[in-house]
Amino acid sequence: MMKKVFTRPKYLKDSIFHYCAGCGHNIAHRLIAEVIEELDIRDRTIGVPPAGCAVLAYNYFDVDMLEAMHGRGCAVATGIKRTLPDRIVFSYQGDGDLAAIGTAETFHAANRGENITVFFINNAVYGMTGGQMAPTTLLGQFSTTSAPARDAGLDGYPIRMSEILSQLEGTQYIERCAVNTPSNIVRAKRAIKKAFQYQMDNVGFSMVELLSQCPTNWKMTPIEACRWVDKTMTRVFPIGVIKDAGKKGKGHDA
Amino acid sequence: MQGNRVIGEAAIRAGCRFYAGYPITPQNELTEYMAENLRKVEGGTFIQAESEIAAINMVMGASAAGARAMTSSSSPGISLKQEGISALASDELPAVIVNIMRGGPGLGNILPAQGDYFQATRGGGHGDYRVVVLAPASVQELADLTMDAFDLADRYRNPVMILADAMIGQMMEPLVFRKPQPRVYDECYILKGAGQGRSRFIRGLILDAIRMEEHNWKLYRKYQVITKNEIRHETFKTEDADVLIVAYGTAARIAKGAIKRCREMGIRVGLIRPITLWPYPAEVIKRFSEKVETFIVFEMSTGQMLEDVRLALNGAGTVHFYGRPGGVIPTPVELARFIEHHTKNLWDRGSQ
Amino acid sequence: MLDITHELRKKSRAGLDARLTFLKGTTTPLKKGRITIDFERCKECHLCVYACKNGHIQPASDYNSKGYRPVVYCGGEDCTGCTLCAITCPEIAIEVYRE
Repeated sequence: MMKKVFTRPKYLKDSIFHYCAGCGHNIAHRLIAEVIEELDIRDRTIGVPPAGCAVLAYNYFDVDMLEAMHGRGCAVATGIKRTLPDRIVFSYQGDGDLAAIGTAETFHAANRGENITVFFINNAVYGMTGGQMAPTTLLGQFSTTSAPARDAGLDGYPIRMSEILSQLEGTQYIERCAVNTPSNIVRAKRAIKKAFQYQMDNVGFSMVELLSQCPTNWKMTPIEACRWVDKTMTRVFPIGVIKDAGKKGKGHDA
Repeated sequence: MQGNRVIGEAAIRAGCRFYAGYPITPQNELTEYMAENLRKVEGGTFIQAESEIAAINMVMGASAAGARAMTSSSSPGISLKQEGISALASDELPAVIVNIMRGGPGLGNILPAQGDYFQATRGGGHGDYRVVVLAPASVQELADLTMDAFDLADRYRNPVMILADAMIGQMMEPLVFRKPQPRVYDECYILKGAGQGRSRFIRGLILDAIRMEEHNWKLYRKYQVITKNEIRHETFKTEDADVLIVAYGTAARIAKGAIKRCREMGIRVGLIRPITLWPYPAEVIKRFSEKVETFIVFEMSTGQMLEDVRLALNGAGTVHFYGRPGGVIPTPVELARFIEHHTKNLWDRGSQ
Repeated sequence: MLDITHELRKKSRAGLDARLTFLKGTTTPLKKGRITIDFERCKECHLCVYACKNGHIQPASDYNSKGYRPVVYCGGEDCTGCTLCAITCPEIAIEVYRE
């Protein structure tokens, strides 16, 4: 007798994703929804979507959500968490949102050790606006505002936010994962679950960086984009646990 | 008690439980007062934010989560908050924003000025929205209006701004804190997790033009209701006046001194003091134009409320303007001299 | 290119099966599985095509109503229900059953 072993997670609304074919957002959304279901925290989860391709995340996640202006997700999440400390608050942001316009908010929320979880979807470009250079665009990578390739002299270097934030004592758990192959996806789900668990245990600030393929703006097929993440992106953004202070950390008083 | 600290105490008494701020002169005493006292209150959160922008966004999160939230700053910092204020208005979230005005534009100086009238009443941020603007003229009024601000913000689910200046913020006067009203705010507006029911989301992005238009008109109708119900003003010696001064805040206090001197000289001058700058008491001014010919708008700027007065009068009467921008504190004497100069014709014609 | 790779895989799988048959009784046989692919949701990103180690998913010859040419299952009875294809499908178009 066959039983169903994989299906759409309960807390992902039954709408068709507007994201491109092969996009990492879809997979990230699904993993987060699966973890919310497994940890049974949907009733007290509040999410903060970004300005970017995932601005319509509230059409997919079946949890309460409050839209933040571009880059301000961590500040809005701080406001919510400090007012309702027993809720699970997560911010879902892209690379421009978190590391360009929102650098100060992200940095200081991490530094204050806010007991929130941040999902950093890193696709090395500005997706929604059409492929402009992002803080995480690789040297030599094409983008519409750094054509023909990112040059260190003119445009600076890609930023490794996970490593930078791990230097702050307020951060407790930072891991970088990818969603381009099934094995990476399984690892990513484990990281997401750990991050939420740390928030439930009041450990402190946790962040999961997800390297995401962006076939449309990288001008590749989805398969080529997935391969590019493995071949090129992980050279600059190595996958793995960057910081795990575990239960030694302490969050704010609940 | 000092003006800045009075705002803090009135806010805490009114139930403010979240404050995010950034140091900027001349309102630092307010931030420090909240740091010292808000954490002592049950459920009170104080955060010194990393920037003005972060502060207004924290207020947005706290307000959506159901706290009475406040932030404060001075002119350049309020400029930074505009995007957040626009978002609060669009999302229909209550919040109180305090602007202790200083000289400007640009970095300006730390002296009192009234150069942020346009910023406060004409939006400041992008889009078709309004902010209720309250302009106190004394420390007692500061306390009362702060408490009112939270009530108004909750009643209409809109950001409310308290527009004071460095003079009121820094000066010390005796006052009495009144008893605050209990909070009236429907639970259904608070975002606290879906519980067992449907999930909600609060957003300002409305991609469909027709629905965006509906949203804008919905806000507009709300603003019409506020305009009908919440206009406040004060009149001073206007019953027999030939000349009327229109001024708010510190300028109005200076004007009262000038009026006393002018009355001693025999000039019958009065004062209209708007307390809500938005919605503006235009009808009040218009009604006075039936009896009074000369209006003098007095501001510590180069003429911003002047435009609202001209709009209200719509061509009736003559409007003069006396302004000292940049942080200069005008004296009653110079204003009296200006009034005298502009009423000389009236005087010469031998009015009784 | 794709077919050659899968031919090689089929050969190595056949070899594996042979060894398993020899060792029957000492190893557990692979479970039987089944997948369904939602024809209308698929956006032909082909991530599942490469995820399936046995090449059981191939592009269809028809188009769906959105203009994509989705993928279909063509592995007969050999699906093991490993869910690798479903895990990697961005559209969550695949449901997996296993006994």
